Amino acid sequence: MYNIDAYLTSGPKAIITPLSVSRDWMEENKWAFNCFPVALVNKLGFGIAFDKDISFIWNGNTNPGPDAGIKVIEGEENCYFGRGGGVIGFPTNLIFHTDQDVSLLTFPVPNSFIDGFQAFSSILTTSFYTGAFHAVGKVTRANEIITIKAGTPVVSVIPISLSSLQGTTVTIKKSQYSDIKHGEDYVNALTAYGDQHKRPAMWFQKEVDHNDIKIGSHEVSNIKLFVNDEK
Amino acid sequence: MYNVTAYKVREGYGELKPLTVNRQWMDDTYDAHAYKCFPVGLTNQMGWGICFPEDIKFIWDGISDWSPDHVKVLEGDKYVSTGRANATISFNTGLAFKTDEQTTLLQMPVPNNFIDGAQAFTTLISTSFFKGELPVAWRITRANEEIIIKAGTPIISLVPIDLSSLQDSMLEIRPLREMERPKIDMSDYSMTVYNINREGKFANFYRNAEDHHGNKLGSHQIKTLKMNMVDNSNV
Repeated sequence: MYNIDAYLTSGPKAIITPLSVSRDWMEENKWAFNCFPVALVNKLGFGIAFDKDISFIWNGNTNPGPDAGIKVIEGEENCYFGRGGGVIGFPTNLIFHTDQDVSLLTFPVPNSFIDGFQAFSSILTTSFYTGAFHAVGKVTRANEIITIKAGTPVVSVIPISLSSLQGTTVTIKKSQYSDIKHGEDYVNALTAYGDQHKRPAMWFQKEVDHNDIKIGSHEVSNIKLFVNDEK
Repeated sequence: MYNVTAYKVREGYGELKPLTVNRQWMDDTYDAHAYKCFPVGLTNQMGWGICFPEDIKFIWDGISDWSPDHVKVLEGDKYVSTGRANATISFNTGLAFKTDEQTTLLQMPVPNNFIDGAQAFTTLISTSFFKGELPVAWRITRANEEIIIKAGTPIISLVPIDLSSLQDSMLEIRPLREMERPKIDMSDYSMTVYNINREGKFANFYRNAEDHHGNKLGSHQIKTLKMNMVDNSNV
């Protein structure tokens, strides 16, 4: 369990909340909530959002410098430019602080898709950096209005221990397709179950194989993160 | 440090490689200045990427339903399938993974690799017990335009993660007056940065973990991520 402090400076404050499982596109296609690896990860992190719509259009300029080539149509008070063409920052007016062996990873909100815009990923050493945090994104589509609706998180942040990741080695070994437990039999049984019952089998979520035999445990089945806003 | 084993269950499909710092759009910035951004450069190396030996090209007709026919694969059909339907394309990775019980495999979009019109799904797979071929998919967001993934471009980043240590984490929002921090004259700091930038140089104060007078402020956990790989698939 990590503890993060966020100190509020002046200016418009971002909304920071634990990410929810819900996504607009999944609400329109509720079957998607049956995908356990997606539903679980949707709650990975604290989401940073703003209380007003933010709309902008990029002219395609990729030059460095303060002219990002982006015209803000709505929500200018939540935008910052200066990182170069096509890059838009969203000041949160929050300063994050973590322990010395913890860094802050920012990454695109899991499975939240905004056509024409993608969030930057970055790692900040929040044990000593005391600047206010900016969420940053790149506009990937020129000459089209992009809108980030009020309350839609633009990035996710999680505390991470880079030391525990450092030096990790993946060893690749050879295996026959027939050797793998979730191989052809499993996939065929999964398909047959769906055809017969008209609903997904959920074996992976339930940690069982297609013969209903327990095969392991998820580390967690539901990610729980908390925000305490002392106001 | 985590223990991760990858099994090549099918030859000639996904290739696993530690992610590099390089991104084409960063190469294309003036004087490759984007690499001066330390938080971005560091993150670019976070994870192992899966890539394919040939170009993959596809187009979506804009209809999202259960038919796999709305995405047409134009190149590289050996490496992808459209069976998930719903505006997605799935990749035949040919790779299975095994981790310890306290480790989960996070799949996420390759950090700072922007492909207009599509984005990787983010997922968490319990690779301590799931022993199938790693499922990887993208959501297509732009209809009626060809999307090309060039050969060798990583389509996903894989990062082992300890979810137990993240569970129940608490973020507390506090007033600024409660914060203990070194007294830095921000206008002096900003002017120093501005003057250095005007000379066409970078201050690198954050990278060096120091203020504009050279005073040490702290330490980065690490400055370069090292994600290693040993290929014993031919042994």
